[in-house]
Amino acid sequence: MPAINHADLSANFIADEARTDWHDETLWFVRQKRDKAANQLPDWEHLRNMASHIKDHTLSKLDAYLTAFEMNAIKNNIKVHWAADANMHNEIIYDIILKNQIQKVVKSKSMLTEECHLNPFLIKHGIEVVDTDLGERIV
Amino acid sequence: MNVALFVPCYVDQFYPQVAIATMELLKKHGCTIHYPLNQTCCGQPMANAGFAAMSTKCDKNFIENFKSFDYIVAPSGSCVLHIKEHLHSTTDKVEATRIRNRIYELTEFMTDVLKIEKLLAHFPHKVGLHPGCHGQRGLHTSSMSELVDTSFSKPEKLLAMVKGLQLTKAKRPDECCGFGGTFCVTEEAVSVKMGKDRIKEHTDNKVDYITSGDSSCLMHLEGILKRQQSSIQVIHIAEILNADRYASN
Repeated sequence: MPAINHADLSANFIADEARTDWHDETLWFVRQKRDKAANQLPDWEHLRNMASHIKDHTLSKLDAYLTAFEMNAIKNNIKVHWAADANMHNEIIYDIILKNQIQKVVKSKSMLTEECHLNPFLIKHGIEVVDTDLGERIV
Repeated sequence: MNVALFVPCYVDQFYPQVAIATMELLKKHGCTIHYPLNQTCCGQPMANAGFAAMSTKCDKNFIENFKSFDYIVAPSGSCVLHIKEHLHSTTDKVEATRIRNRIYELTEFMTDVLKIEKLLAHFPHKVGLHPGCHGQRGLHTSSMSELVDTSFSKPEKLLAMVKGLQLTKAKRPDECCGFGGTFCVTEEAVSVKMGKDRIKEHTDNKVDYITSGDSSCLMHLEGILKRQQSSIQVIHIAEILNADRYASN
């Protein structure tokens, strides 16, 4: 990833104050809906802490959970691929696409594929990609 | 009750009236005030910028000036939080620990130690409160709006005792003003925009004054208000709680 100058980029963004306000209000709208929902559960903070501990626990034992997942997935006739990095992840997918002679791909939004820059990678290789997530089109 | 007054450096330099109001207010409520003359900056700017090692001499000086007092009180959540969380000493660990446990921000000291239930203050104006992040989130001077929790606010409780004061509610009651110490230098655009957004809420509420427990937040907001040629003024909460000399009754 190239280094970015956050201060300069944000100054450019904020130069359009109306758009900045719209962006801010949109996020605040989400926050208000979240507050409304959270306040309906008296033990919200307890549940939130518990969820946080489950995440910490899972991440600390990720190796065991991943192999358990693989074992159960294989039992259900699912083929599991292991990728060591973003590049390998993209190559595995491209390999499957090539073997099946595919030109167009529809995919759900996923943060993993976004972090691996899968879409630009596939587009570079002449594959048309359509994300099915509506939010992608709005934002 | 022996109370040592800790006056943050920027209050000393730019807002001395805040230090005077704090001293008068504490005296009125029975405190014997001591002002250790060789006190300096607490070292927060260096520590917050990632150079904690450069603040060790400030720590040493702070301990020398403030040891052996019952309580240490400052009109700043930010500086108090720094001392509370970061005052260390390799040679005088006992005293460093004692100071960390004995230092209070003004509104928490008035609420939790002096247990103030009544004030003589009179301030007939419309006021918006800006809770500084360090006081609220670090020292828990008030509840946080994102948590499902019992709502409380030490500064609001004190302001409610001031005769004539009309306290308004900001739509977003506890968002950062954007000052953030060196943040306002390194991230100027975001810092200014955050301040403008806070001011807009107070302007919409038609307040006469914006108050806070931290003059640093107020300094940032004041800079923006002046550029907007706004008629809204900033005032530290100590000045409001001490405002009885012009009482009309």
